[in-house]
Amino acid sequence: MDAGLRYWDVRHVAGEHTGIDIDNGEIESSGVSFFSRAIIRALGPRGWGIVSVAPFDPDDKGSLSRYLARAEKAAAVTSEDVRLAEPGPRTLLPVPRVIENPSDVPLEEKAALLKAITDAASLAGVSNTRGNYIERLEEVRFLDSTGYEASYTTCRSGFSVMAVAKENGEMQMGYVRDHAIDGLNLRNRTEDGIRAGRRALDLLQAQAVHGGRMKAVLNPELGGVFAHEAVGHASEGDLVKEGASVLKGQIGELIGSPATTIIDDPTMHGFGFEPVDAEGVAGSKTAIIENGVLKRYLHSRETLAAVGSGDAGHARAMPGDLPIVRMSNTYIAPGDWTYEEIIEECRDGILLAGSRGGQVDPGRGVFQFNAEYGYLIEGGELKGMVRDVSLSGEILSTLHAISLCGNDLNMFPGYCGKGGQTVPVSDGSPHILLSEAIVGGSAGV
Amino acid sequence: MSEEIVDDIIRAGRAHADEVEVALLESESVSIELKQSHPAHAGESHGTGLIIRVIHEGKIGSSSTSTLTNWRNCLDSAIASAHLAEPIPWRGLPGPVPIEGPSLSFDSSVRPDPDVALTYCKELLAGATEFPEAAVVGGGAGLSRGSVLLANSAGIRYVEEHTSVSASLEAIADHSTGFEYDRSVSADIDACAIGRRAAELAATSRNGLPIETGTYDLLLSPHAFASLCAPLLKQAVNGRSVLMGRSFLADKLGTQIAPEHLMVVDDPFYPGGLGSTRFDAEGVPTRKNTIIDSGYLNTFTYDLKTGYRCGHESTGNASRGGLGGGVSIGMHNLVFTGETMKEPGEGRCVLVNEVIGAHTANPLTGDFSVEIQNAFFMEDGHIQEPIRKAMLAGNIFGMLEGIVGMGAEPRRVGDTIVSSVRVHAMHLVG
Repeated sequence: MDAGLRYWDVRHVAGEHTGIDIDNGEIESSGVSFFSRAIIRALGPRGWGIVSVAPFDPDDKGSLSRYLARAEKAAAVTSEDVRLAEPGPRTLLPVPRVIENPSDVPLEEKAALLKAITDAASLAGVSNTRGNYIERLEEVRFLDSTGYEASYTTCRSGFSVMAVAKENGEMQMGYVRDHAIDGLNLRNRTEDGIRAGRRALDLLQAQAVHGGRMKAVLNPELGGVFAHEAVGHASEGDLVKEGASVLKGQIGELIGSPATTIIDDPTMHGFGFEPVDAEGVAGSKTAIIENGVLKRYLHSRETLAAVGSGDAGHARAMPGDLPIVRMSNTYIAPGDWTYEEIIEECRDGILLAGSRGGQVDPGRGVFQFNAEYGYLIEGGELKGMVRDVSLSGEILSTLHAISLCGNDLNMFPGYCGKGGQTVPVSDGSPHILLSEAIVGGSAGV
Repeated sequence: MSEEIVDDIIRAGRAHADEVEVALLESESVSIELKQSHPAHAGESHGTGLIIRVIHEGKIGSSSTSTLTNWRNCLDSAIASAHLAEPIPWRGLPGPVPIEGPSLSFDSSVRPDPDVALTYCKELLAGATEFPEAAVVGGGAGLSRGSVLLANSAGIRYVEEHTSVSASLEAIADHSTGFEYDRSVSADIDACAIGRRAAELAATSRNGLPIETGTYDLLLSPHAFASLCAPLLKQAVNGRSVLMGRSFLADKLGTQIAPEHLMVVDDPFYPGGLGSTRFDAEGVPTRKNTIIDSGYLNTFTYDLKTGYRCGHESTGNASRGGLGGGVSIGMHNLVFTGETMKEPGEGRCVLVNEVIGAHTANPLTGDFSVEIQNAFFMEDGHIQEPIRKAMLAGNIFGMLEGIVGMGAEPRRVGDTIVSSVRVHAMHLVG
């Protein structure tokens, strides 16, 4: 290694991306594309030099030397005092057992299976259906200046199905998706298509809701988004280090209701699993909040050295991009309450279900996300369906507002964007009751 | 070498398909990332990309690769993709026409030089010092340069170069945040002003007051208006959304959907526009398309495929972004103009500088509820107290109808160009 460099690493990802788009029962497009991207990081005396290249040939040792020289030169203009924590465990975590490898199934067969799901969504009253399939095969190789090497292969795949229903000039959408890391998930899934179609039809009859402060029950999908958006991002070590998180300096403090335990677990075989992170570190189960007390942040090697309180192993990256601190599989731990008991305890409020995504400003401590649908709760019972409902609030006050946690934890796969990078994650929760929430809706607007 | 590959691909592809299209992309960039006030990462990137489309008996297939020497696999994949596709009434790729003049989103003086990026970073930080109560969280600057060679079996061989300069800064004061950025094809961004604005937003948003739930006139900044309105409007006028019955505006062509003073034009020739180009992703010459003409919905947007299906010509709106490098329908530069108000903040209103969660709006109906960010009470054009938090709920198309006037200074927010927008009677949940 050059004397001017303290450390370097290379992460090369090569693979294939397969996509199928079926619109109104016809294959609109399908196909396979190929990629080979690498990122070379070199740590100079004070900061990182980075070279990102596509394509990259891992067997061309001469090109690696040239890229390292360029990275070293780039590092010369940096001035941050960077230290790296010890990497900790670097043994590859066991990869989930694959039941049916998507790569082994012909494109035509996958298209036929997806078509069956979208056809199932085409119920009477549904005017349009659309199905998408995504499959991503990645061969990852990691190498660093200590001589550590790791390589692994993953194949993530999944589908979404959307149905649009129309009536009297009104238009609504039902949407169901599922992604997996343990094999093809397209077989025997027509029930998901039917669910999307029914949801679209039901939403046509749903009412808009009057926004305001009220009690709210979050279903496991939306509760998972809350854990991810409102708490997970604010616990990321880079944001804490840079002063952009309301959770900075709160380790050991009671920041939520004692009913609340929130965990990020890279070892779980959910959609966010990776055998080692983008710095070659094997992740470990991390309890961010235990019984309302903030215990740990999520870290890369750099943020762990700078901030402390937690473990490395949470750095993730898209192919050819820089590792940044990210969640993997994030969830609210289950409590003792049944779903029926939670609805009964709510008495009057709203049940919010499904997710159209969300966003958080961790520095300000404010989050916003949209539910796909919901139900009014009156007298401890579910009443009419509502549409276009959202939830916003302040992270800390909402954490304190969690009054009950159900016993029905469920995880949901998805994708998370941060710093221009999108990585696969999963999140979930049991049904939870918020004693007060700010619910948005467009009734009367 | 690249030229030879393009010829080889077209020749090899023509043995299996009626038509072949090749796009060859090359790019290089440099960037410097700030962590708090320190340059922490300095980087460069180099990339190539090859996108192949084939059309055979009305069936379209595509594939892409980052490894040019892998073009035979890429071509095979595109051909296999076409085999699976449904045929459409295809009437051919465009042939060559004179494309006059230099590239429109290119400035030859922009070079990916790390020293220039570092200078921008220093200016960002210098600007931020004007509000010392705000601390810099991070930010950065970057410069890029690239080219696209588009060729097809009908004889097109167009080359277009493009450049980009960008800078951003994020600041925090207590628990108030501020973010500002700009991106241009030229070195005309004012990094010092970006830094100053980010710090100013953080500093002046502190100690916000609660707001009563109710109906308010809003003055939306270009950022807030563009992030709320542009994506949904683009989707609603997308010819494919219309064809497939997924557009709120599908049956509203020729009807009034906005006040008569509002004009919305997709302008591929907008000076310095990030999306400015003389030809689209299929080699169709671009043209100005007036989307909303004096309040009336005037046209939808089409690429060749959707145009052929609908019996409508392409509007020159093909863009890369479909599966495997396939083509979809996009916009170039979406320019909003309307009646300019002498004082858009007159009377009492709420100034909203940013929103969070705009992407969660209902893509079919345009219903949204987002959280406002860096918002202030405003009285007769003067900014008053900051607002702590509130949820803004409404409907994008209803909001268009409620536009009462606009500010005088248009600004670029990505590929949207708009000034501040005054909207009547919007619902805030405090």
